[in-house]
Amino acid sequence: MRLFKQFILRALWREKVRSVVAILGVALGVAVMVAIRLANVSVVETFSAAVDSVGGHASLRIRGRAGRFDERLLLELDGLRRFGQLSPVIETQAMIAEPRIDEAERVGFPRGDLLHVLGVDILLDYPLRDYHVLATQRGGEQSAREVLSLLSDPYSVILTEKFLRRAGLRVGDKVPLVFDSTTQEFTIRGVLLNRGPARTLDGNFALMDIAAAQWAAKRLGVLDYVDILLEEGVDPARAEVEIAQLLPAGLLVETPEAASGRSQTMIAAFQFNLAALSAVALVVGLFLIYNTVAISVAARRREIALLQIAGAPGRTVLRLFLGEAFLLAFIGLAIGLPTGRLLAAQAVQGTAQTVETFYIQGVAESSAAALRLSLTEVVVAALIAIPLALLAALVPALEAASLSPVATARGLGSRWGARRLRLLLLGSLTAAAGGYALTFGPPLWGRPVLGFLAELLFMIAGALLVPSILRVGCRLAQRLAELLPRGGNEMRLAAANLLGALPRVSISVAALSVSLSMMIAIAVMVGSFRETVIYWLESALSADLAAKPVMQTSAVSEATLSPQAVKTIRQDPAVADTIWFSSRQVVYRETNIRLAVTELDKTFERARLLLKEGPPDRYTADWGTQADVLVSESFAIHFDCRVGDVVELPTRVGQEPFTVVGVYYDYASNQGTVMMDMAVYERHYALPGVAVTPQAMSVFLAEGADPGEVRTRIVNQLGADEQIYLVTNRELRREVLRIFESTFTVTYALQLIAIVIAGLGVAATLITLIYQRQRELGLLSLLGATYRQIRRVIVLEAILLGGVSQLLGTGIGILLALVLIHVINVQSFGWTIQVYLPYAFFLQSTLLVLIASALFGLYPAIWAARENALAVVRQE
Amino acid sequence: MSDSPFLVVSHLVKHYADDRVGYTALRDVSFSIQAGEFVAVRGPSGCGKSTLLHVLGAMDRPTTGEVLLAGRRLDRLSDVELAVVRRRQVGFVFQAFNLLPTLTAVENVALPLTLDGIAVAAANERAGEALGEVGLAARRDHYPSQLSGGEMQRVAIARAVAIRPDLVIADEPTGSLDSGNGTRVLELLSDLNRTRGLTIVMATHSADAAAFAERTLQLADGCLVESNETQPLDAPV
Repeated sequence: MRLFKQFILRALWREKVRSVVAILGVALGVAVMVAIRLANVSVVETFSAAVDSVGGHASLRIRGRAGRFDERLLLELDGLRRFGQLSPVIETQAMIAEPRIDEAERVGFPRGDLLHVLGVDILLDYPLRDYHVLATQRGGEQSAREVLSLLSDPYSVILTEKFLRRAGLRVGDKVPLVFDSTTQEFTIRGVLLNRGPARTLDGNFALMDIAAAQWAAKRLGVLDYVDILLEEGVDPARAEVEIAQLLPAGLLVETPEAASGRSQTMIAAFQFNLAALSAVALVVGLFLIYNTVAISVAARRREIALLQIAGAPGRTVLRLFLGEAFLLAFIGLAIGLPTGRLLAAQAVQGTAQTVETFYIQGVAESSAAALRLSLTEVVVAALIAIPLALLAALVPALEAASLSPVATARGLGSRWGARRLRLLLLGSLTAAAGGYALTFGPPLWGRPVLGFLAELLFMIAGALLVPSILRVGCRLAQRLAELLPRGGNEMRLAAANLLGALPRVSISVAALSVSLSMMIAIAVMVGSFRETVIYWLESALSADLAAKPVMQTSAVSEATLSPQAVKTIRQDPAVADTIWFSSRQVVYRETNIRLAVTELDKTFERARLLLKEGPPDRYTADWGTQADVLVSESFAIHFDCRVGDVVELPTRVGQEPFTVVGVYYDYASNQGTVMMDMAVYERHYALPGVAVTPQAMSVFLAEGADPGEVRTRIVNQLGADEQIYLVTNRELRREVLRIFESTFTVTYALQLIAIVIAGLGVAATLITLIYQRQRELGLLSLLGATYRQIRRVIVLEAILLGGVSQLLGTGIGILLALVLIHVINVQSFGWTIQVYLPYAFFLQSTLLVLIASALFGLYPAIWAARENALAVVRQE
Repeated sequence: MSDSPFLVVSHLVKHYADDRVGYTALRDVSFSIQAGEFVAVRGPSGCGKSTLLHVLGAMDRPTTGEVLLAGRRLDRLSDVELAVVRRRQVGFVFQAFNLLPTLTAVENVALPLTLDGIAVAAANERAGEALGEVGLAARRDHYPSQLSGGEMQRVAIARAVAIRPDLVIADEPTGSLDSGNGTRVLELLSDLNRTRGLTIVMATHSADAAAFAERTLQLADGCLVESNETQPLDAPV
């Protein structure tokens, strides 16, 4: 301990800047990892908690194979009552109506608070869920029968105490709620205490009578599912099997957890990718630990030798340097954990919003409220960061322990020979070859694990290539210096200095190269994706106007346009044609997929689909008559499906075969979509007596019609109670691209942090190099170099380091982008992206990196220039 | 040799002050040196030898007093002007050689020339000649770590003379060398003094080393206590 204090603590204290940079590096790395983990966990927990609290005590759930089902099927379930209590449920979303949307001033797609609405038969459902209802804010708890009487009026609703407090509402107040696009006024009849289902989505929950909910949501005669509370002593597994045998063809039984599990699987790929990216920031932080310990060892070779000469064994030296890494990691962890909690609040906005937009509705706001740094998270972070930090320090620490005391005391062995460089080059080539081989691997557990491993190997290959590239770069700089008549002297010196410090600077350059490569890779991938999406949008959004209900806030939202809205749009004199679109979630091979319905003849007529394969011409004429479907590219990739294959889809009468006649590109959802013509859908899915209405409509105007005028006319005609978005092609395109950009906000932030960490590493390395070269710099001053010349040498060193990092980073980055595009994206989301190289970005980032490097170098340069000639001679 | 002194030091005082203690390294030192003279500065450790050399070599400024080098008042020059003096007029040789480990011998010798704006090719040519003068032409492309102590000091001397200085400052140039190498270095300095007329001021605590000089300045506690013609090499010290 005494030796640790004398040898490590004092040195860390003496070189405060380097120590602080290393700690900051780990702290930021840990913070990013914790933030993403917390954000991911809070989204999943919020969703699970919502499922659990709404699910109540139900052990089994009956639902339609093709989604919602006709409530008359309940009659066939009568025999199931022997298993326990049955309760039919409808679940939907409502929105607190905002003041009428002013189309002229509208920016984006504004919306009010979303409520998760549960419609139940109170008497049947009371034993299943944990309801605690008060008739007034201060009244006593109500029985099931009393609650039933509270909800006797169809325009009644019971809201949670948390929501009422937040919204400043009371029992008896009237609240306008939007179901789909129609606004209706409801009276608050009671308060749900903050228990059971009331805890759903941070209190954004509403309880209604089942009939009233069916009426409001225009789903008369339709149920979402039936929950079963088994009698005491009934074995759930056995009951599930027995019930399955008794159900009609269109229904199935499962546990409530099975459905939530499928939803979680849906977002798992997205969250896995984010977690993998957050690991990059941690890896860069660990590079800094390696850097710090390696520099410690390099700077104290003589002291190590003296220690060994004084009798300290190699293992003592090893322990000392591992102790240093532990200390740095521990302090970094202590700072990183609370910082991660703060960052998580930002991260959750980004991730939850994406999850909500593409996968699960209504989790964004409540996920932010659910954030907490649990002991588990602390332990997980410590178990990841500290062993990795020790591992990072092991190589330099082992090197320190194995130094020959005599050679070290004489200052030998600090230059890398050609053999060492050849070995590193060989290692780099091996890692690159390994990475390339892994890109051919299949997904593991449904995730692109091998793809990410390939990325890691490419990064390692790049890092091992650094000394060779740096050497070539320095030699080129020396050549260039010779060509410059006068000013080349500083460049020559800078290059010579870096060549002499190759082992030390290589580590920092590797860290910066890896971070920059990630930035380049993400830029290439996002840029390519963006270009591909823009190209796709050209065909997908060919209509003049698009209409959707105000509740349609997510790709998974199932809100529909009212028949009145559809009629008003179609009857407008300027509307030449419309294309009807709707989609819903169905289960295919235990996975949630989208079933999209449209008017395929018109879709093809207006060339609105970009086809990857098929369909043959003969199919285009009679879409509605065959059981033919198109599938999205992600569906085809996930389920290994080709044109001509038959897919068995759940319909209202059970599983039915459909023939795949084409594969189309679709970047709106990665869930996998099966698209069929409206007529086919009506044959296989429409429920008797329930009108099939579209979720969105593409509106084509007559020639010369002004979209703005048509929009105003339709919205005015619909009146205040029909809230729809009617947007022009350009607005919709802008909104799609805005959502697209927002999806990558977290990614960009992660990369920025990784680059800042790496930049800190380079600054720390420069400072350390200068600290170690005080004598040399003083000598330059002694030999007549002016402060300006010395500053220039240091800044040129920084620019050389930045330039080599950027060059290598761009090379590795393009390689990583290709893996992201061709392997990871395809395996995660099933999307083909056309590669697009953003040359302007390469140029900008290169300039930025060179300027930033010069600025990073300026501080140590100024510091170094202050050291005067006396520093040299005084040390004598 | 011209009659007017090449280096004149008048009432030189150097005081170091920090937060806790002040320390006077040189007290009212005055002397002059003729061009082409080889002068040794002797005295025990801490007597102010090195401080005197720092001021003479334009590395440090006196607290009070004047230093005239070839008629220029060093104590009145700016930092940049001092750097130019060091670059063009003063060559340095130190105990610890002070070669840049990342440069080869010829690059080290050429460094002050290139810092002064001389083209690399011309600087390297002159550096090669200087290395030839010290007998290291064959070692020009070796790094310092590949040279012996004596060789490193000869490279340092080549660097000092390559700029064709008016004055060479040598601070304990043999302090890190064995006696054989030490003698060779002193003979080299002496040769350069004789053949090129270089003015050399050398700090040393060794009487044997001082014997190579023509004159010895004796310092004690920051004061100049004696200025004598140096005794011949074989005379008792």
